[in-house]
Amino acid sequence: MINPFLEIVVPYAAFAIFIVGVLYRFVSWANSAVPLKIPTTSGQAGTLPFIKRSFYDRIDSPYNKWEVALRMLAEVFLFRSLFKNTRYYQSRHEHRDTRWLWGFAILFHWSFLIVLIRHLRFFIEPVPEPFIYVTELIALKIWVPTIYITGITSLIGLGYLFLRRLFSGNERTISLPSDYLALILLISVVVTGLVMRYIYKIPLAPVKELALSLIVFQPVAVDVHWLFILHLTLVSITIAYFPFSKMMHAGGVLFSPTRNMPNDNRKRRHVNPLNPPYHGITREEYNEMYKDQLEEIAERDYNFRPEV
Amino acid sequence: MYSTKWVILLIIAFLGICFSPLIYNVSAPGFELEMPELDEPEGDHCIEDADWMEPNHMDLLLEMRTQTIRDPGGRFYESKTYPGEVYEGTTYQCFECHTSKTDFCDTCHEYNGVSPYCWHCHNTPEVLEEYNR
Repeated sequence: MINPFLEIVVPYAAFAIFIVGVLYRFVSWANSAVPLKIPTTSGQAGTLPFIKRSFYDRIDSPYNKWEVALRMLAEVFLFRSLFKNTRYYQSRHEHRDTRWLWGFAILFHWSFLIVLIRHLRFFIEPVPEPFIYVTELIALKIWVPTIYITGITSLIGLGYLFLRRLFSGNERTISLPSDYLALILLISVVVTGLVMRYIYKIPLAPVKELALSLIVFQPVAVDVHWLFILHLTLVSITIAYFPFSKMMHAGGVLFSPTRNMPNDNRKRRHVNPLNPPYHGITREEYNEMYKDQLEEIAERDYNFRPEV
Repeated sequence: MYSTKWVILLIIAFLGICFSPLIYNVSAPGFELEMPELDEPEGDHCIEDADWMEPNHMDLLLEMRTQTIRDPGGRFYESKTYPGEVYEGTTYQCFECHTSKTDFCDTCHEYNGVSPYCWHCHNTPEVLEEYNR
């Protein structure tokens, strides 16, 4: 009784919440007005043609949409703004680059992306040969089963992000329960996955059958191991929580006005969409509106003297 | 909605990524929901319990390998499920019952997208049969 519920109802409900929630966030963000031109810049803006701009200036202070796209790609795939993180040491009166967060964040995100891509082998059938070949590139063939490096490194990355919040005083002060919740959910997902692969192995064929049946919308309640049901339930909770949590930064970065606006104030006027509509008047309307005064001025032969 | 063109593009890309496995499965030729039936082995029972063997056979093979090359007199493996039964720690022991790699090993491995590297070095029943012929 509990199996069909956890294997079919919960994943479908979670996936529906995920899709609808993410689309809702996209549309609501797209509907929000951006009153001011607020790109964050740290490079030479585009100006007169004889002022040279290097490649980094183009990324850091984009002047057209291609440079914005380049900066966005660098932000999404390389986390450039995290890379610029510095810490001020009062005793030494100097800034130092602190890139631990960047390093572990990029370790986690790339590992998790590769883990997700590799999970496709459970979702597609037949599995193409090149796909297996490429995904086996990150396999350490020193153990049986082969050790997938990214599974381990994503746990290391998550562990750092979690322990940073626990042990760094600054971080602990600004950490909210929702910050921990997202990390705990991801860690539990990764841990159950690693346990199923390396420690307590479970039969795979029913797992893939269940995954395929869910994917092609012909759900069958297959008799799978309870560990996998735990994994699936945790994943369902995570993706259902995704649109309402800080994990939504995955889509939010694309909607950040500081990131997605070109720094072209001098070239193009930014109109605040919240302004009331502005209607100008023509010369004729002006003449008509101030007819009396204009005629009076003409009578004086355009001679003005202050009234004393 | 502001910059509608880009938002619609983003939504299409997002839905495309989310439903890409479905699109692949529907369009790919040779889609089978269930795993094809495995080749029925010849013997009575496996070295260990068959249900245990399904997820854990690689551990058994690894242990047999370690015993064989490290322990003196470790070429023989005593079954834990069936006490008293002794098997040789070699892949040829497996081939006595599982006479085909294509119909037994590969069926499950291909279905689950696993590519074990045992057969880069070791013989398969198919190679053996060709050699014997």
